[in-house]
Amino acid sequence: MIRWILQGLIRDKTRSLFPFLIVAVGVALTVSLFGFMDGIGLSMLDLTAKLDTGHVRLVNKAFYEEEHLVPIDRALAGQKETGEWLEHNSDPRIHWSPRIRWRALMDVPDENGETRSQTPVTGFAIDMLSPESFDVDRLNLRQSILSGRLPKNPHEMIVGYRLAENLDLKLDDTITLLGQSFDGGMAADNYQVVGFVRFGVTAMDQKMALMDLTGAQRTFYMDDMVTDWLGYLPASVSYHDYKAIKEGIQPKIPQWMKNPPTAWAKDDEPIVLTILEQRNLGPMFDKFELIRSVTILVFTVLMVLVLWNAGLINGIHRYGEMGLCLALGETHRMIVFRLAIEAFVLGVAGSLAGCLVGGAFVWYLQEVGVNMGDALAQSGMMLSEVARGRLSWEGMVWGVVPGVAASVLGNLIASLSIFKRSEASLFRELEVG
Amino acid sequence: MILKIALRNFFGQGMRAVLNVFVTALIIIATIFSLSLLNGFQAQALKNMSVTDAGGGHYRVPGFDILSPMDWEDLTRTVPEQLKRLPPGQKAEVLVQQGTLFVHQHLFPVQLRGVEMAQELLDLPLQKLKAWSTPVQDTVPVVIGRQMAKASRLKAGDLVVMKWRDKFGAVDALDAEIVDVVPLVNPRVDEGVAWLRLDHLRQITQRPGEITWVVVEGNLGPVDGLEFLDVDYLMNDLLSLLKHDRRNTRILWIILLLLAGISVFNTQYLNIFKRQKEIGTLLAMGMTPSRVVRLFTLEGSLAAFGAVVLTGLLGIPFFAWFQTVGFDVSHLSETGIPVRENIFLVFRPGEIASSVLITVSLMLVVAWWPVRRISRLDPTLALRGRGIT
Amino acid sequence: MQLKVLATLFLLLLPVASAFGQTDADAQRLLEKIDDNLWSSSKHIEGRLIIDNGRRVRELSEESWMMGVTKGYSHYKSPARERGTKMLKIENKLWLYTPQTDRKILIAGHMLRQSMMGSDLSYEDMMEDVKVSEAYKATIEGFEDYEGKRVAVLRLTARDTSTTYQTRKVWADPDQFIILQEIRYAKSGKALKSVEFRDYFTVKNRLFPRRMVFRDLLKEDTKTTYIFDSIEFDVDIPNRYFSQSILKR
Repeated sequence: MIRWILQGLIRDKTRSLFPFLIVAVGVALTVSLFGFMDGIGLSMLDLTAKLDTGHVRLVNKAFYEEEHLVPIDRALAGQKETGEWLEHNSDPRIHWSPRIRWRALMDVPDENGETRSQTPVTGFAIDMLSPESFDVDRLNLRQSILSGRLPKNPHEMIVGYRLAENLDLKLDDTITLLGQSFDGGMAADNYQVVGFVRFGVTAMDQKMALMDLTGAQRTFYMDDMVTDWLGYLPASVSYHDYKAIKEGIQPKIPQWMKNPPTAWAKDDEPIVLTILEQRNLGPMFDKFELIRSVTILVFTVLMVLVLWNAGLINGIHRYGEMGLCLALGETHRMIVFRLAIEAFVLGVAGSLAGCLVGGAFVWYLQEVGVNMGDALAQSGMMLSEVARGRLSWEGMVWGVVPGVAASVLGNLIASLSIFKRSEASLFRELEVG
Repeated sequence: MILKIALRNFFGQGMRAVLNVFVTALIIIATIFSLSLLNGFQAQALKNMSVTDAGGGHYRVPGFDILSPMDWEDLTRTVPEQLKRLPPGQKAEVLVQQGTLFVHQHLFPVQLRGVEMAQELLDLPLQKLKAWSTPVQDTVPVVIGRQMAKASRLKAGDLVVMKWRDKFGAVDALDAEIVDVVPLVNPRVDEGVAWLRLDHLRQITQRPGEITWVVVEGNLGPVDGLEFLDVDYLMNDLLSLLKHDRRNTRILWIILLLLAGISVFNTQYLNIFKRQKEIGTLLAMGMTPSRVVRLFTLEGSLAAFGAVVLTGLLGIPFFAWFQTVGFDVSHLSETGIPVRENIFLVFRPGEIASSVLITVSLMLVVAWWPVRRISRLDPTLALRGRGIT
Repeated sequence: MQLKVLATLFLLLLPVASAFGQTDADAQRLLEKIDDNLWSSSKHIEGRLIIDNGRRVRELSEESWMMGVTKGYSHYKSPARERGTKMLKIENKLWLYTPQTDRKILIAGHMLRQSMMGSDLSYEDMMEDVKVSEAYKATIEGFEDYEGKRVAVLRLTARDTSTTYQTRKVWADPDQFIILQEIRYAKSGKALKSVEFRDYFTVKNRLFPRRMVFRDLLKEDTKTTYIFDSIEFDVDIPNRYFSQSILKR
């Protein structure tokens, strides 16, 4: 029986190919939409995550509480041990990036070594020099450099292009940083400015400098210390999961604190935060979530409508065939049942194909991304121009369930009407159809 | 004549035509709705920034930079007569100075932002400040935003020491009372900002009549001693971020259009399929294949036209209604205090026009595509429904 | 740093007996005497600065030379990281030299309000270069028991609106002409900083405190102690000490 149905389906393209294609396209679009909405969410977090908070962040509680003052003396020591602990005790998908946030007076000398201009700056030290560093790529630094190059040694730094303008800096100028060291003393050091970078955020373009981690550790006497551990998750991990990932780390900390790295101060207490808990992103995301669900809901309803309509029309198209079957002695019930099974098989097959196509598209977005940048306006910016997506089971379910249900339902409703019509009238449809 | 037949055919389809037109119209409406909602969500940030800070632009003391607090003291002046004369609905005088709050022995460098109480240009929830009178007595009333309250762990009713410098450089300090913690919907005027009455800030810093900037409705031409900064300049960061986000929504738009595409394609294609015998009859009766193609394409355009008309009929009242209520997201506010925060649709005419245009073109193509083969169709096969397979 | 200390030291008196009355004129006279008696054309100090930020205590040692109130030069000797750091003050400008950078950095304008080396003193506090009796008008508030001594309480009111601290309160011993404590106030009258003078010793007929303790009253658990290990008055200081050319390795 099933074989017969399958053969019938395969041989009559109007019965199979069409509904199959419609379901496949509908499901593929839903999977794409779902993955893409996640991608919009990810891209909203992108800049903040890259520059400021990571997706999850390990930071000393005391530092976090006075973050506005950049209290470098509350940095977390034991960089190596902390890094290893995180490696072993956090979600293996996280890539941890140690950073130092710092604040100092930037002083630019004239040809006699006298102060020519100065301004307070804030900055980040990131791993820019080690070959295994991901940060340079993650921050899109190569593309963001407007002029000059990336630092090649710990005594070099890059600065925001507007900072350079305001201080009248030229490439390869040597500047002096004057700030506070880890132990509260005075920290002063010279750096060569080798590149001007465009972050795309005024505050950063105007007040930000970036150097290598080892440079900052030397300047601020922070040997083996960092202020932040920023954890990055691949695009395949939903921002909905960040909280669970954080909760996978946080409870292990009390145990860790019983036997902490020897270099820690006795009142050091690391805490883990997700990006959504910082910079007011949480409430914004709740709003976005709502819009995302409305969009997905509206879309799904429409897809159901389209598939149902298709099922209905396909069903009507086959009234003649039904008349024939009735004439051959098949019961009404059997016909309805057979048509439903047929629609179900087609729905499942179409859904699978849709998941494959949609999934492939979203997977491409997730792993490679589509560059939406304006090719003419490539002035280099840290804001990524790449549209992302995220492949998820949830998206597939959202596509498959309504996809199958709608096509079965459409067919069913169409076939139910054979109960109301006579064999003869159905048969006539065969004649003309 | 073709038009008459096309019209008759179209209406002859009855329920099915209505259903197709209805579904198509619904898809167009949903596409516009989804995109405009996302636009609205993004634009809300702009609106928040405009009503709390940027207004229609600032007349600022030249050289002032919000990112260089050390220079704030040196960059003030008295309000030029030209701006002073403006009614409260058209300007808001603002004075910005540096200060420090000492909260539970923690130090919080803050921006002291004094804003006129009489102004009606900005929408700031500073009612609690209005209740205070001039001059400052023993405590300075201060309002802070929720983010600031969270960061500093301050709550309404708290007393903290506030320190600042007066115009002449002398150190001054008073107790500041946090009279209210308000939702400020714009992080830039929330984090690190303490809101004061302008008269109070002027009094305690000995700067009678002084301002850092005046928010106005729009450019009023040159004003002595001040430079005009337009909204684009003031909201530059956000605008470029939104532009970037909008590029992303292009993919969303394509996905939605494709859905409209398959719906139209499916219904139209099946439609033509079912009407082979009709095509056969027309051909058999002597109509030329090219006329039949035109007839069916015209019929398809009628459906498209109907969908557009219906989109207008259903969409316009729906959108008009939606714009009056907005999408209420108040319940998502962080704390229990109710804020009316609604997201409204933001329509981009280009987006709407191209959505409608593409859907219509798609309908025309799918109306034409199956029948284009009519020119080489055998009428006898068509009559038996075997012409198009 | 020493410059600031010096400024405060102007308030100290030689142990000259005087009949201290209760009028404001007496208070002003006392203040003038403090300045007169403390005034020295030049000084050489070796001292230590102990900065306690509540979590960590750091000790810096330094040596400084001062000419009048407008010129000062100091040289840090320890700890190793600060060794070789130099500060030169001329009028209202301050240059900071660090051997790590081999640069002199000008600290001027509002930058002077920043904390100096993480202490409770700002560069501005340190640079105060006016005679107290000239900058402030003294009035007598009364007499109090201060650690077993009867001391006069003076209220000092700034003569110029641009003076950082518009009022100060001074607990002075009217017999020994020494100051035991000083509180600096905001214009509104809120207490901001306190300075205690401890362990007076005699040097060249002057009474000098061994320790001065500075506290920022708006912060908790922080204090900065200045310890004078040796002080010489009226010494010959070569001019090069007050020239920018000294700011090098």
